[in-house]
Amino acid sequence: MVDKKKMLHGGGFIIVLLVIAFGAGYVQAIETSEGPATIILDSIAEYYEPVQFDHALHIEFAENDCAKCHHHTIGTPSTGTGNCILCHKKEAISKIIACRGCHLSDPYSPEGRKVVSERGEVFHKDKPSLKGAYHQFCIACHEEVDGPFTCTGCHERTDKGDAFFHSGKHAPKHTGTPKH
Amino acid sequence: MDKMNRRLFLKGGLAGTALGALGLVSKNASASSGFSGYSEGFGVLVDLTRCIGCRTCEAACNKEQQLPEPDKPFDDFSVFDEVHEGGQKRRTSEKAYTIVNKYKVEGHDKPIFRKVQCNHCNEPTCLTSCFVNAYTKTPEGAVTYNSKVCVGCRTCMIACPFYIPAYSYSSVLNPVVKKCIMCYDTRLKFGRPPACAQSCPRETMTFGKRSDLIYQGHQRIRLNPGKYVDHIYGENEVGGTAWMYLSSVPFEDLGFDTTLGNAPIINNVKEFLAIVPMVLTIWPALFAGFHLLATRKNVNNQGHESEKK
Ligand code: SF4
Ligand code: SF4
Ligand code: SF4
Repeated sequence: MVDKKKMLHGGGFIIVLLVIAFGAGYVQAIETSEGPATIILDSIAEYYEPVQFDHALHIEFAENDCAKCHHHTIGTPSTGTGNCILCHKKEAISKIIACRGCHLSDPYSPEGRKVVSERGEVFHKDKPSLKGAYHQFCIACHEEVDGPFTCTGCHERTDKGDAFFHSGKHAPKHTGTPKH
Repeated sequence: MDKMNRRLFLKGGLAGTALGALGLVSKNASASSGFSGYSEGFGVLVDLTRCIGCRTCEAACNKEQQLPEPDKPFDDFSVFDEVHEGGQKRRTSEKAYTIVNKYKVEGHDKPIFRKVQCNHCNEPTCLTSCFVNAYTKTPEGAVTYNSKVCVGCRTCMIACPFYIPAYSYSSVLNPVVKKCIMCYDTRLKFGRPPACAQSCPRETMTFGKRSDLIYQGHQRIRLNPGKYVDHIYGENEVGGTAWMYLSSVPFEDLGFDTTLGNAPIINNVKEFLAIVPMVLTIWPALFAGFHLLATRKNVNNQGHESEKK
């Protein structure tokens, strides 16, 4: 498994195209009030192809209520788990928007382990990592709204991934072809 | 000395029972007679409300422990419907140190999944029942074994309250125990989380100091009223285990044995009696061999020596 988790803003290229098509004002709107249009999630790119997360589409799904996903920090916390904002309301940290701003992208490296184990604060200790946060949050919602919720529903698996799962052309020889 | 001395452990356990029954000692006091319980050891908190049954952890274990090819691909979910001997769900085996089972619980639309592996007991019955000293409880919290010493008698298999140890019969003359070692050799020893825990997309498994995890578990229960059963399975069961569970439904509905009690199993007369006939059968045949094996182990046993083949 790849340890390193990164989230790249992949919106740049699209925005350039939008500048040509619609003029700078519209792009400005995307950047400031709606965030990047697409975000590339490639932290498990060893077993899965990078995911092109369609942020714009999900804004539509969320009916422009950013706090549905960006819990605690944007607008009114609407998730019922808003413990962060109770303490951090007036601090600069509450301005953080990107998931990776709070959720540790690499909790399994020696440095990451150190950060996690040194968290003394009551509420910080149990904060999920970036991968955990995504999958707990995304899948919970996907289950509710009948979105894809199997691994390959969102992630296209690589050949290395097939080997890891002993699937596809790496399936055990002594049994029939798998159903999935 | 980082190895647990079995005789001291037994002595401590039995003395603890007698005094404990009279209400004279605390758990700590009885531990002082030879076994500390390694309270600074690592553990894993398995939050079953997070598990979605994707089986990534099973695949990760297979890879990390270099286990044989599985019978079915790890993305084949028909395994959840398998019924084994005696109407049982899947169990851990010499080919799979961890498995995930699916449960339908009344009143819940969604199925609930339970990951099973060795719980790495604080006071492991596999260890105390083994008369050739094959098992070790490491200070990091893992219960490992030395397959060079194992004689394949299967006593630990019967002794384990969670039905974990399995045997490899690849060599007819030398069957050896096989079970989850908490990735001791490759990861835990270096303070790194087990492969299965790291692989899980949902962070079902939280790795950390056992004492921290107990705190975190209770915090999750407290901060999410109505979400969890108010109990951490393994906090106290059979003297406490390094791997512990949180659940949204009663643990017995997920096949957990909730009748084990909080005392280490060595004190449990019923289980202990079950082992006795085995010991009596095997003892004479192996009597001469023990000493040799135990001695050899002491000589060899500088580090963990679970054998991977
Ligand atoms: S990887 Fe995590 S979510 Fe998937 S089956 Fe294992 S414990 Fe459950
Ligand atoms: S769960 Fe069973 S095999 Fe694992 S440490 Fe406890 S008694 Fe031993
Ligand atoms: S801790 Fe390691 S050996 Fe145990 S089930 Fe997880 S991956 Fe397998």
